[in-house]
Amino acid sequence: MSEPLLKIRDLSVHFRTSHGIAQVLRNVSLDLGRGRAVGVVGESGSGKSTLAASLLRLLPANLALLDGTIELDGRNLLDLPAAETMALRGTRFAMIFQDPMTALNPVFTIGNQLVELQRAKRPTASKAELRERAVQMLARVGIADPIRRLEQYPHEFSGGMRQRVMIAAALLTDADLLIADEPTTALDPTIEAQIVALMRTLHDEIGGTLLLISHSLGLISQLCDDVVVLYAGTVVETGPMAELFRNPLHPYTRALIACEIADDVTRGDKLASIPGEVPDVTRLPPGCIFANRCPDVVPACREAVPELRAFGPDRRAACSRI
Amino acid sequence: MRDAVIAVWRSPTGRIGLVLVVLVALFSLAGPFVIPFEPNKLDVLHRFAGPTALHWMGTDNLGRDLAVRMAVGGQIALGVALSTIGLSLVGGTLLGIAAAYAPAQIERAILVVFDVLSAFPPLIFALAIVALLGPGLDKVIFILAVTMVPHFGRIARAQTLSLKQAPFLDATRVLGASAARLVLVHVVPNIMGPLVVLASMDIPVVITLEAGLSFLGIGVPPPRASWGGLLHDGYTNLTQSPWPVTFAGLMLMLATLGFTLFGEALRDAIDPKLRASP
Amino acid sequence: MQPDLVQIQDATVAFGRVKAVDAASLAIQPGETVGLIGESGSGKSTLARLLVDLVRPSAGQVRFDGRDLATLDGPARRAYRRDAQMIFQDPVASLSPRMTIGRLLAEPLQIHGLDRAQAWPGVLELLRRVGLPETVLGKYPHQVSGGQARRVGIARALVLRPRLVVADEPTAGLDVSVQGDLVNLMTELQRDFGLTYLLVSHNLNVVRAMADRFAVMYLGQLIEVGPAQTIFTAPAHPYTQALIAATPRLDPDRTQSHTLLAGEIPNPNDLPPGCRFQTRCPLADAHCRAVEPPETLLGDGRTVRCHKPLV
Repeated sequence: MSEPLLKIRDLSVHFRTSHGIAQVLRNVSLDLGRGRAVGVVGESGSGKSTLAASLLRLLPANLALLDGTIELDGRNLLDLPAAETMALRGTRFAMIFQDPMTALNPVFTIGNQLVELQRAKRPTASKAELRERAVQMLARVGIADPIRRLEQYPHEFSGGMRQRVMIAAALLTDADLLIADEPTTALDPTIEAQIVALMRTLHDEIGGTLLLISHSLGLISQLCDDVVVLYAGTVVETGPMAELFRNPLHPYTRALIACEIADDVTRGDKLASIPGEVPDVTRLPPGCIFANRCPDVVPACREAVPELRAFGPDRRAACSRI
Repeated sequence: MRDAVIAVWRSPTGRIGLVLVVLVALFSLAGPFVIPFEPNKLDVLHRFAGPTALHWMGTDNLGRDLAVRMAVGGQIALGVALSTIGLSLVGGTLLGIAAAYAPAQIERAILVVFDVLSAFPPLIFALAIVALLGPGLDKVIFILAVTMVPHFGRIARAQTLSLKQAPFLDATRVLGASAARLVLVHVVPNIMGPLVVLASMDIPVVITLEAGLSFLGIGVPPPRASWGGLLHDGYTNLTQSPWPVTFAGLMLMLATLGFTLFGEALRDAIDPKLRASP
Repeated sequence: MQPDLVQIQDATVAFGRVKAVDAASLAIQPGETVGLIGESGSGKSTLARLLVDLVRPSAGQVRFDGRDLATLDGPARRAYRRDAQMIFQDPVASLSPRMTIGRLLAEPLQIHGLDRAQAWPGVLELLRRVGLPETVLGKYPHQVSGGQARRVGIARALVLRPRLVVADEPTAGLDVSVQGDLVNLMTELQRDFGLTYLLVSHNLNVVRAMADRFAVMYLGQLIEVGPAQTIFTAPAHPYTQALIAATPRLDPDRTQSHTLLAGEIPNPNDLPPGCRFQTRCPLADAHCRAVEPPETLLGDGRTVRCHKPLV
């Protein structure tokens, strides 16, 4: 098994807010295997967006703490000076956002943007060469009539098409790591299905490393090889996708899976949900973060934060009751 | 609203502005009661006196106490400013909201009215009205209010247009609210922010306009004391005494400075709050 | 069989040249829940707004309790508001920002001249039923959480004790771990208050848990209407089938094969002759491209608009 492309160890990110210090991420550790698609399951309040932002060092100004290591090829990204971090974005990392409209510049043509972004890695290539690559990539992501489309502006594309353009843009960077943050949340179901199939095909063909952040278990099961479950700022479970979903270890994972609406559900059936709310990360309770909502909680759970323990070569869970 | 005033107090320039405004207002309102002189009482023997313990600001060309005349002038300035802005705010807002909701032709008509009114420089308009109807305090208020209606009207219309799409208006309509209720209870409070800021920033403008009109003799007619009038009288008799011009100029400057600083601080306080709603 | 509560007959809503709703017919029985399903541009939101008089039909009729809404005069229209209410998609944005929750809940009473002293206990009871503490009454919409705002919206819609409630994407933006709670609440409220629901959504999973019948819309037309279970297990229209297949499902073993639709949703300004679904339908042939399919009644009580239904 080769070295992971990215190793995150004990990443902690805290923000200063008007109610106190928000400990948004606490000791998050995860590995991104080379060529693997890793899914981070995160609902509201999990800290998933902060995780993505930390990788790209796009954190807001009210940062109170940034601790831990993010190792790429043995170098800690958090130690890098600003210029080098900027150089990484668009060359080693590429990102797909939830809302493609805000990621694309509305006053430039798609062609202009797709050509410019390639220059970071190909500073000496000719414009014609870069345009040709852009055309081919647009065709590859399923955009018909790509040569004509290059001259169009973002507002002339529908939501699904814009997301395809974003994927094309990300692929054109030849980045080692693609980070996708809720890439299909804003799309209609039939369009989402198309984008998911596209991402799967491309991942199989190109073999890059994908970090997918989503609240949708369905999406993650369709695209990912490995899963990391993030709850209120900590990792509560990790493992290979099929195994984790078939045999979840952590009570949160189990409860989350139970909330999925099964095929045989009909009108009037009572649906499962997880009672309570995600705890306030400015006022952390002692002990396990899931204690106030856990069906298996015992008094000992509230005394100490459970460690992320191994349960086999690839499985880890942070629960004292397993 | 209360948070906005607190925020204004916290900003250094806002605090200065607020203090100046309060001082000018207090002086203008309390002055005539505290100062033991009548504003129109002539005392020609003691004219052009400098500031003394008796006459704090001295006397003018007819021996009238300057301090009490400044206070009365302040009352006029503030009174004109508040009535003018009050009238144009109400008129402009109603027209602006009407334009936003009206069918295209009526909207266009209202906008044309706005354009025509803005095209008149206030001074020329004032000259015309005074020529037709003679000078007077009420004429001044009317002239200034009319020229300022488009100012508020355009902002009110723009704010209403952007609010029209808001789901809470639809929701209230579904509950059965009448058009009147929608406008008065739901639209107006939500567009008032920028309008209030504009109004407070317009107070110094109106004060200056009134002073200008009075200076030219087409504003508040004498013997009523207005700052512009005092400036005029002081200016024509500058060689006899520098004090009237100095004090009138100073009063005008402090009032406009105070309101300007206050208005700007209010604008800064309200703006980010408008955007801050999560 | 009871008389229909709502009857939409050949209703068309046109904005300029575009028909957001095109000759749609739908009947809703008292006490039932109809799931109005469709994607962007389907016209489902516009159809829903017909029922709460936010939009008037350019052709056709909308009848409530047998009365055509277009024939109602001012006071009758206002009285109608007490019978049909709506829960909006964005819970915080649908609450007037400068009014406290208490005032917002009292407003329907004020508008309809109901005695506040008499009706207020009922409002407090509603607050309790939707799971909100009384402390929320003094807060402003931006001060409560999204989930609480959603419950305020539900409570407010029920203050007048309507008979019909239109819910526009009731679970949009909700985490999966809490959406069950909301669905259960809506089901209980329906039972306790004798409500009829029209659920507008593109989330088939949630609609399945609440609806008796589905009404599927595509580009302004109702293309399949019928019992929910029947449609879900054996869809008749190819679009319905694709929509069901596209609904995200936890599938660790990746057993699903996807009936993927090719192409994008076409521009409503530029509709081709014949069936509107032809540009993406795997079964479309020359006949489909020439003739618009009429509404056909199938053996199991469904209506479909398709020349080649799958059933």
